[in-house]
Amino acid sequence: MTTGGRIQEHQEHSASGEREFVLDVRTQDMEINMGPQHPSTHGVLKVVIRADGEILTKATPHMGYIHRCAEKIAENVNYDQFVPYTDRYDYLAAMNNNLGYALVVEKAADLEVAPRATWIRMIVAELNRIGSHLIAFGTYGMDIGAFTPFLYGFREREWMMSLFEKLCGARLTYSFVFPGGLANDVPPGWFDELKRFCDVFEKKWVEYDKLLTRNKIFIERTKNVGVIPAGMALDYGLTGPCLRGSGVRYDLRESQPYLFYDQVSFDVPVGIGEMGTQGDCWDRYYVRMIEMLQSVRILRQCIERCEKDTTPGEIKGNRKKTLRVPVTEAYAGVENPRGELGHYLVGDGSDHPYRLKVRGPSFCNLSVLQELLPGTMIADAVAIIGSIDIVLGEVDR
Amino acid sequence: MTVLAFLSNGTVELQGASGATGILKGLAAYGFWGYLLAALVGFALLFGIASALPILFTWAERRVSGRMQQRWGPNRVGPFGLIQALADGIKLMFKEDIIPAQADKFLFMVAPGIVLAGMVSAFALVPLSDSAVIVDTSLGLYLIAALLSLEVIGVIMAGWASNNKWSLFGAMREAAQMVSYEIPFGLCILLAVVSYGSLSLREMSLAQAGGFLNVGNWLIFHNPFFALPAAVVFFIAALANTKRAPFDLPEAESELVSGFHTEYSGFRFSFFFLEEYASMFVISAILVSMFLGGWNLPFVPGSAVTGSFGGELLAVFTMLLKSFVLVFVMIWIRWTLPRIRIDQVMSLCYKYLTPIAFACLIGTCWWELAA
Amino acid sequence: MKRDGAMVWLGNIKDALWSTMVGMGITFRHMFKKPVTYQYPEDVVPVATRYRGMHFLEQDKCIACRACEKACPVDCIEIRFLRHPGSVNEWFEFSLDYNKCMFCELCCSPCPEDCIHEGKEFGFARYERSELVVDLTTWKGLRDVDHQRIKEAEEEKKRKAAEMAAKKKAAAAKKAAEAKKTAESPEAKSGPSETAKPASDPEGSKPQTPKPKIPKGDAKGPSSKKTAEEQKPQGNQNKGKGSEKGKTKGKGKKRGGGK
Repeated sequence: MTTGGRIQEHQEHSASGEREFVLDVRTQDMEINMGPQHPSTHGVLKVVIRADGEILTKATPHMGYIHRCAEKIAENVNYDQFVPYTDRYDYLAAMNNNLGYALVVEKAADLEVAPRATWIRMIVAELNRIGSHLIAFGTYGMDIGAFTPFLYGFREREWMMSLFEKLCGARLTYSFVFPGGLANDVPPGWFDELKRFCDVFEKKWVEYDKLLTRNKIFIERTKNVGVIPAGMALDYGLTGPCLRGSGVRYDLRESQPYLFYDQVSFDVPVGIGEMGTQGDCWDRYYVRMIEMLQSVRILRQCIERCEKDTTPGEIKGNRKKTLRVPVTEAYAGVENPRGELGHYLVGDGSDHPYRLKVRGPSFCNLSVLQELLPGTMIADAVAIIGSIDIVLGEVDR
Repeated sequence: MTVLAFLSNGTVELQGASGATGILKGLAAYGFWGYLLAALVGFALLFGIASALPILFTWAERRVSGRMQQRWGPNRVGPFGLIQALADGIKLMFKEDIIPAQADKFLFMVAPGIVLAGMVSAFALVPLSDSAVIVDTSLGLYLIAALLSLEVIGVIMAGWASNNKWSLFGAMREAAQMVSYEIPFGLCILLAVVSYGSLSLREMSLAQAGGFLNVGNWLIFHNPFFALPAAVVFFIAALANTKRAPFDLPEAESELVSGFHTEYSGFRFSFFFLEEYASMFVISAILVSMFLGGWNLPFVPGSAVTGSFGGELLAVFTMLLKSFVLVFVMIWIRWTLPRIRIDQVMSLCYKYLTPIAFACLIGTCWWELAA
Repeated sequence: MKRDGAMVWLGNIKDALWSTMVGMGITFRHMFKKPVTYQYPEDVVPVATRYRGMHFLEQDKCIACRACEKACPVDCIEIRFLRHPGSVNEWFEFSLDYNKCMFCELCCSPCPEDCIHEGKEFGFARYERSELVVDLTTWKGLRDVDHQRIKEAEEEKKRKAAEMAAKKKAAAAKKAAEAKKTAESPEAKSGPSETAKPASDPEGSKPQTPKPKIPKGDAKGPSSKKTAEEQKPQGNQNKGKGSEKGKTKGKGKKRGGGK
């Protein structure tokens, strides 16, 4: 093994007896810990990278720094008490997590949900999807080096959070969607504000598009970088925008509609390689951007249906106060902002789960990292990690 | 650094006996001690300017970025938070000066000084008006280019001595970037030299007086087809030279944690900080002197801003204003654009800026011949 | 839009300059918009009516049913009280450990009296962790009103018991009289004495159940305010007392669970 940059002298004797000098300037790879304390690993992800100059030769993601035993906790608390814990795996999309958990418990316990509650569930899920994608958009800009879009994204997210604050009282960990219903009904005037939010948000979206999405430097940084072909995406079990960015049209809201998603119309954006190759960072990023607009579209339809078809206050389903799930097993997946969030529930007749398995989309999406990173540059590594859009709370759970 | 400036002072003719130059020259007449005193005064003056401007610019940066992001920016210390940067500077001074155990101590301690020294001495060469110039040599631009590129040595030293892999990456990036961007930077300087037939920034400013509305002789208007693109190229190269976004790769926060100054803290860190902002001003002042008419104002004849005290004051004000506008543009760009990747930095330099600068240089030669 | 050759080169320049200009235009326009941030300590940050912040307890409504304690997923609520006749609770503690609390509002929904709420206070900056264990009670021990009510209740009970006893006696007397009337046998003598016993029982047993605890409560009751206040800042020193607390809590829980 040669040491970095040292010139070694190999003494060899050629046929004529003359000495030959071979200058060996081979360099050694540098092993660097990227994270867990790194500005752009989105939390406490640690990627051990080997770098030959700026180019990575190997990358190994390490995780588990914020493992909080969510699945084990589920076995020790009752069905309602676990809802606040679901907030905390993907803390940027707490509503969607609540929803996923609520759906699986409802499926197992055979609960019925009032239509108004279902519509409101769709509204909060889509609104939270916007909020989550805004973070994805903002932090991605920040990873690439643009700081301002991040704060613009946060500006709109702030409104989204105050909407949720009016709805359920919390700004990040909502604990709003409970098995069998909701914590609260919508406060008066909330739908009007939400409609206003939709209108303003669409205008702001154009601004993001001009400021970051269509920026030449941004495009150059993200096109043809971190290309995930459709086959690889399927092999690694990617879901969500990472899979759709590779051109696979798979969205649980469309392919296995839950709630009333079959009653609203929306498009499922897929990556087409508009700027470079299909499945590159830009495609994944743009799928998220378009999804925000689609969420706005769904929101509008949901508000309309909710106001037209249901009367305020009718959010109670048929659940009893103490929830017991019979001896049964159930799986329910929901389309989270980051992909398919699956819950597998084994009930044993008591008021707490026998076993709850959570399939976190970030965890599965992260697995593709070690295949994507080798051969790229350090700056690309940051762009790729950002484009996969992981939330470490969900990776480690 | 002052010694360096005064070395050049001795070898070249001194212009004008008024202003700082005159005083210093007068002092220098008293032999060695006078020379030493002159050197110390000159140093104090330079260091004062070189650290006062960054205080203003850091405030501007934070305030402007705040307003661009719909935040308030600093607004606690002083009116509009104006002396926030001063408070920060005092805080930095009193912070513990941490030297990593495994660092190369000597290089680690010296590096910030070298970085700042080059920048402060470059200040001496920037003419603010006809007589408000500390050192005016016939090799002004050449010397400035040399002093500006001294910085890269300090940065590489800092990156290497920190014994931190991220710092090393930052230093290597800085080296690659600076060395590459010297080329378009130098070509644009050559273009100005070809146009004016002088290397003195003072003479360039003087030469830009007159013309249509007193702006006709500004280089970008005098030679719009070649000097204007060259000015843009120079500005981009200047961004790269000052490590400003989108070329802030050596300290790319999201990639290299903090780049070459990751391990620096307290006072030594503030040296890097001062250097960045001081160089923003120096480079803007050079650009203004070369392309944007120096201290000449539109509608005000060139003779009005030279000679008299009031005119000189107006000239200084004009020069500062023009430079501040460019500094504002630098800040503006930083808070708009994402960061370029290192290979794109190289391709931008070699595939775009250098050919354009070359074309402009050749075009200018032709233009000047034809004119 | 497909470009080739030199057009790619020129197109790149055009795109780069144009997109930069557009972006700079957007950032420039934002410079003249009003900032959206709050100057936190000075500005009052608007808080929604449903905000889930620091709890507040309507203590006079609270019946100390421990439903909130049971509902809490992180066991951050600790309730210590003593039940007195007349459904009067002698309060020692209703503490919330904000080190643990995650503001899920699960404690508020099961409350039968609707007396615990999450309020609007969101500032939880404290110098010590122990300061985050907040006692929600507005009073401790027994107030004059409570004493009154207990007295009333006891009197009422006594009165009722006396009434009952009187009734029983009357009944017994009646019976006895009837018995005397009907038959003068020795069996009838034991009858009234047996019936009298249950009659006197409620009088005796009700104070009896809290009786083993009353001495404890009395020992603590008057001084409980002081001790509780002393305990709060000294996180480490109350270990000995903590075990005592634990014991009482354990007992309380069992009782609560039994119900």
